[in-house]
Amino acid sequence: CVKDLDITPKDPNTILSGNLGDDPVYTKQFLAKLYASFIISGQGSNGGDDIAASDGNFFTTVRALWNVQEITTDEAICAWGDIGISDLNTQTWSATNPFLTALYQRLGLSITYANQFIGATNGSTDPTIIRYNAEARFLRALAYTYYMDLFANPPFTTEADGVGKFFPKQTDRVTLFNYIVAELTDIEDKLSEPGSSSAQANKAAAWMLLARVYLNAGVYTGTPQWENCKIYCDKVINSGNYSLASNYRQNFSADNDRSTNPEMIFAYAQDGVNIQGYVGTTFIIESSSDARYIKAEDFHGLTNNTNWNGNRARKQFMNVLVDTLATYGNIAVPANDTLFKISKDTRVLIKMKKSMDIPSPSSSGDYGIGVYKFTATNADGTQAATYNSAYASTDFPVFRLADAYLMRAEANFNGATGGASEALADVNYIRDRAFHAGAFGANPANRIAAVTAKALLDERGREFYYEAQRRTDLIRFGQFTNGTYVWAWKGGVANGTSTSSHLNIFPIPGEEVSANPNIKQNTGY
Amino acid sequence: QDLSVSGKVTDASNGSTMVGATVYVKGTSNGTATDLDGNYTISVASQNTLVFSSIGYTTQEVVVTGNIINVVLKPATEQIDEVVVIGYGTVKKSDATGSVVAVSSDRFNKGAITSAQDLLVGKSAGVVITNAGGAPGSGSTIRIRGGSSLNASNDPLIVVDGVAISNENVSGSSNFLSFINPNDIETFTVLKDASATAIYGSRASNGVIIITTKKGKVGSAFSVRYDGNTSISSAIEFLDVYSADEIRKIAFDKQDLFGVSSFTRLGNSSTNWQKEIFRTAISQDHNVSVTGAYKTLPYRVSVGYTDQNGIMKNTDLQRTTGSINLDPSFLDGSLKVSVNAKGMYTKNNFGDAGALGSAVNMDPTKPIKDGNAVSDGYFQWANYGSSLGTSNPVEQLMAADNKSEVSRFVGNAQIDYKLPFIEGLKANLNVATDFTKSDGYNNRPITSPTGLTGGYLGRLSDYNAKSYNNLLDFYFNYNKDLTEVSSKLDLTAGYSWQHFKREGGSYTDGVIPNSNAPVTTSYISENYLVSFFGRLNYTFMDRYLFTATLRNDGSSRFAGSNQWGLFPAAALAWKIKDETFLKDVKVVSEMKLRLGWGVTGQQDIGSDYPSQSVFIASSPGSFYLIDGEYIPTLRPGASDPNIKWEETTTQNIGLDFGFVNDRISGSIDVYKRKTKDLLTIVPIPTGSNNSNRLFTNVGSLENSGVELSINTRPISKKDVSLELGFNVTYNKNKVTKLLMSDDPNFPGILEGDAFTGIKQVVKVGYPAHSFYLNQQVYDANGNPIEGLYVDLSGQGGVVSGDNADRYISKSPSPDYLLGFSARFTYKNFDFSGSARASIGNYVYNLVSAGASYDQMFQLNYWKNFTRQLNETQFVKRQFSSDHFVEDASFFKLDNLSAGYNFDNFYGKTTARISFTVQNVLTITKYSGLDPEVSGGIDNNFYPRPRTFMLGLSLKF
Repeated sequence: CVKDLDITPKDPNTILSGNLGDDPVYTKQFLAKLYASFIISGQGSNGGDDIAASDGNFFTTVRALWNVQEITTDEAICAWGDIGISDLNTQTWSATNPFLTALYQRLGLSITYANQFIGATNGSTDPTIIRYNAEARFLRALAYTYYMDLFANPPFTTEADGVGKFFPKQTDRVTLFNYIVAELTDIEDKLSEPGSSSAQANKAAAWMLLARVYLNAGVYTGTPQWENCKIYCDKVINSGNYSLASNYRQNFSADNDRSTNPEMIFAYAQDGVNIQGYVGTTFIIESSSDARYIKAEDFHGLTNNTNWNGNRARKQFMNVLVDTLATYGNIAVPANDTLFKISKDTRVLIKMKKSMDIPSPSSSGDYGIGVYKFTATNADGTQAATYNSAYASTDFPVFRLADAYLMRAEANFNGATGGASEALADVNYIRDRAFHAGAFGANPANRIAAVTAKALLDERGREFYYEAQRRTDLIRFGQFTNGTYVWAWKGGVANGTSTSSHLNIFPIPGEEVSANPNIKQNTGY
Repeated sequence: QDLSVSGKVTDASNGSTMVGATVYVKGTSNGTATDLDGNYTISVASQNTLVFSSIGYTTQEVVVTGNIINVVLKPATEQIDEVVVIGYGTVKKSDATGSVVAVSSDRFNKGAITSAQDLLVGKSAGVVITNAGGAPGSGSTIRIRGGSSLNASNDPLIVVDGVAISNENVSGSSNFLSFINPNDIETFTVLKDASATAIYGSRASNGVIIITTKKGKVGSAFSVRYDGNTSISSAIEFLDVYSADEIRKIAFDKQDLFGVSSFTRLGNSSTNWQKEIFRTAISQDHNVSVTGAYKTLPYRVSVGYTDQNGIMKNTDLQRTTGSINLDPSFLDGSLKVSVNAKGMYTKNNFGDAGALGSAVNMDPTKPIKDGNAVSDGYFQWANYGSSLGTSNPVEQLMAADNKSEVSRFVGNAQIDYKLPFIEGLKANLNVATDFTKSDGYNNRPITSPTGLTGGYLGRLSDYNAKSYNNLLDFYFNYNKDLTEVSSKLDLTAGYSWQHFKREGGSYTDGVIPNSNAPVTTSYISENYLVSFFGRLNYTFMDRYLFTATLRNDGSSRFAGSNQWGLFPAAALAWKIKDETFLKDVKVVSEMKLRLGWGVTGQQDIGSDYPSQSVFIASSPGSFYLIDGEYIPTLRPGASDPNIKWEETTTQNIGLDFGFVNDRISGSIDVYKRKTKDLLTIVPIPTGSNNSNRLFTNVGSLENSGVELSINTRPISKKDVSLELGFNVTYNKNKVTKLLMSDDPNFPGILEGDAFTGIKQVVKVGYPAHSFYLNQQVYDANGNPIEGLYVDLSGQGGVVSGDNADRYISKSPSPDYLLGFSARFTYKNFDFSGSARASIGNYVYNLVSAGASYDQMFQLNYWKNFTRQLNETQFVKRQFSSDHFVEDASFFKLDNLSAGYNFDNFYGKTTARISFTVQNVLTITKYSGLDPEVSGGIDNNFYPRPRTFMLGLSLKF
């Protein structure tokens, strides 16, 4: 009877770590988890959320990432009263902010999962497993890139560390930068060829990540590496596997994945039936719609549990997006043009709400400028193949081809070998698509004559708004903190005010500083 | 040939003659009463039996053999306290070495009580029982001397007639003790300190409650008893929310906030939503029991039926219970067998308790029905473009089809055999099974809003659960009197084996299938406990008592060498009263000093496999796309391979005392409990394990306290008696270590939710779950200034939300708990009452913290709040303000009861009628509905009703 004490789980849904090698499908399913950890809160009804948090969907990587990259900037502000949101809205966050804490822990968890996968598959000679192993290393590098960008000095572990009770060592941006570059260049050859499914990382995804890391090298290491950025953008563009979608909005529709969209390189897959959750594009769509101005039935088709009325753009972003703030002033947009049809830029997917001014950071989502860029319908307005009234099938874009052009333009503008003329060509190539949906030929009227730093930042704003890139871009251009650029409620003041530059790096969560004596808090917190 | 028998009846407690004691010939109606001098004379045939009785005294029977029979009657209370049940045996109360309190049926709480634990509320120092609310059949949390654990179970072990039962609620059942009919219970015995509980080892860290049910006795006559009652319950008060006109006025006054267009969203009705969901409920309860003995087979059989209706509409419970106790003995009493079987079948109708919150928040300007067929005629915001609007509370409650059927069987057979070859050696075998099965569903029609159906069009949701608990105990007991050295030995050694298995599943789909896949879940899980135990009781000169216990416990929840824990305990008792210097001091009737020390283990953490890293496949809807195929994901789980027993060391000093023939008696206990290697869910270093939290052995905490209980009988006369009971408990809980590292700046383990934020914390140096908030700044008139808090960190800047300016304010745990009980009898009348007080417990009033003007009109619908908003005037919710922490100290008069006993109601039938009021009165400064809130956060719970009950008992 004493032997009764030695038990193993009776539930057929569970597999012990020792049995992982029993069936090849387990390896594939474990790899699926590495991807899913960014976009799904957990195992659904079989096992709940991956991290202990008060709301799984709130605190899944892409949703938390979107919040810290967007509502901290001019592009968005959130009306909800949930703890931590107003601190992000006004750049007054602290080390106990739940979104920052969850994002930090989530990224660490994705790395821990990847470490175990890599440890279990290292040394395999099976070509599929070798590719899976490289994809896991890509996802780990991607998580470390987010860490480097957001928190600068995260804990560092690899497959050599194992799982248990120990205190990981802290790393820094320069070390991490070199590690990420080394990892990505090492796995480059082992990944699938460019043009393969955008739900998984391939060579082009690795090049895009390298380009993005080099794009921000000045911020991360103090030494810009523009030429390296250009090299990897060239690889993507010259691979010939990708082209801009003729319709800009194809990138934000239910059919935005690589199979129907030539522009998509890597996106976190979402699906109304198979990959559900209030994260990613479902979150962006629902939080941006409301019962009065941006109704589900009129704009995006997610009619179930809809119209959360949280996020909308601030009025200063209108200067970037429409160039019409001066024209309209802060008065109601003419009743016949609340959708800004006056703009020929097809990227302007916004609608005037009650007023452009937002009376207070906690004012209802009825104030401000509504954004309906993402939709759950297909690009042509038809219903998605795997339509679900509650969950979008729209993938969350991480890397799309337009980014390669604009990154290359910025690299060339800053001294890479292409020079200013190639920079201008790339920017105008993107503008041509924006202003001529369908057949983007040359139209000098919509082109810019010369590239400036402001033109580059604004073009990125117009092209990538609501894609969780804004904070990183503003920091690279020196516009995120301090007083060079202020927007409504920045610093908690109606017209915006200067903020401290230490806010360019987020604090390490207080919980982590306490739990791990090796981790020191970031400067200024 | 009748004899004329006469004699005198005297009171054993003081030797005085007893006036009016009843004397009758057994089996006849021939009887008399004693006169003013206590004398009686009766005519009776020889060899007949005379029965002597008086209220409050133990009845005596004497066979007539002569003409003079003098009788000394003992007060009834002495008899009940004689023997107390301890683990694996019994002990004379006077010989108990541990902190053991027995509460017998005559001291139970009165009223419409369907839960066994409610009988004990307020009756024992150090035992806190908080019921979850007023829902029919709702359960209670029981805490003995505070909680010794943080995340492991803090529930005491409950042993019913020798079966250590499972204290988990299966889905569909809300009270794990509901299988016992309160009418069947004879005594509760509470074991509080480690020396008393140690023999139960692994499950006894939080104390033990032993429940013994009524049994037949050898030689007792066949009797039938009926107990029944009818009760009427109603809500005591409602939350004070704005009226429809007030909402309209607020909309008008605050146009700049809501905009003029908000007017169009107001209705023309005036609905008191709270009134609409409550009712006056009538309930009834009937029990019949048969007791007697067939030769050497004493038996008791009982059947009970309860039909309880909740004060919220569409909530009720019907329960049938049955029990059989057979206690035959064989071989001239050397082989005793005890067979107990209890069965329960309950039908629960849970309704939808969420309607309570909806009734507070629903816009009072809206009608109950507006005739819209889409929503079955009910008004719903979803029909007006606000699908996130408050659900119509009446529809929410009445359309809910949320029912379960739960069956449970608990049975055991215990064999006690005096081995013939060694004098004093007994063997005891106990086999038991405890099986629960539940089936339930929680359905909604397609006319319910999607906010209530989880995104489906209508909802079909089934679930079922089964729980198995099998037990085997075997022990030897050896008793030896060593008279030559004035010693007595009592040795026990045994083995215990327990297996718990749980399984179940659920299925959820829409009534009209849509693309949301049906959700199915299933689980199956088990754990084992195996123990070896031994106990030595040594008595020297009948005055010095020593108990030593050793138990080796194994749990399947741990792995390898961590499976086993060795837990020792020791106790000393000194019967001071029996010393020569006190023996002849008349005024002192009892004096005993107890010293106890012991270690107990804890392993009950819910998870059965915490040491094993388990991969779990995701359910449909949580797949990912790999190589063109949607496949389930496989997640590695967090685990701690080295997880082990949590250990609690208890020290206890106690003194039992009695004065003036125990007219005043009681005990005082001082204790300290230290728990180390706490099984705690703690934040772990990111990157070290497969979650952000891990269940592991980290930290320590401490409970210390004092308990005093006093029972007095200030009046003890023939026709009049008064008994008063009083107990007081002081307990202080303090966390002494957390985390794997020792960071003095660690803010603690924060507790809260995404929508209302962090409100509590577990921090070193403070009581667990203390409130952790910003300190509100008030204006000259004492009103809180919105968003303005004291800058406690001195860092300046915005002091709000989630920053370093929070502080630890108060704790939800009370400092002092007091219990009072009184019983007064006059002739055949009796009156009793019980009351409780709790001092120093604080509650966070989340109902009022949720109120702000910006929330009143948001997402295009109107929402109501409590009138406390008039005081705060908050435009935005301020969940982090300590303004909402309120002193919830209270005094509660739990029940008042009056009864009358008919001695000869009809022939030999005796009868009793009683009238009881439950939940009579609450005195508190707390502004919410009820200050008695489990966990310290008041967020709308099913209100406890006031109940008036008429009871009838008949005995044939």
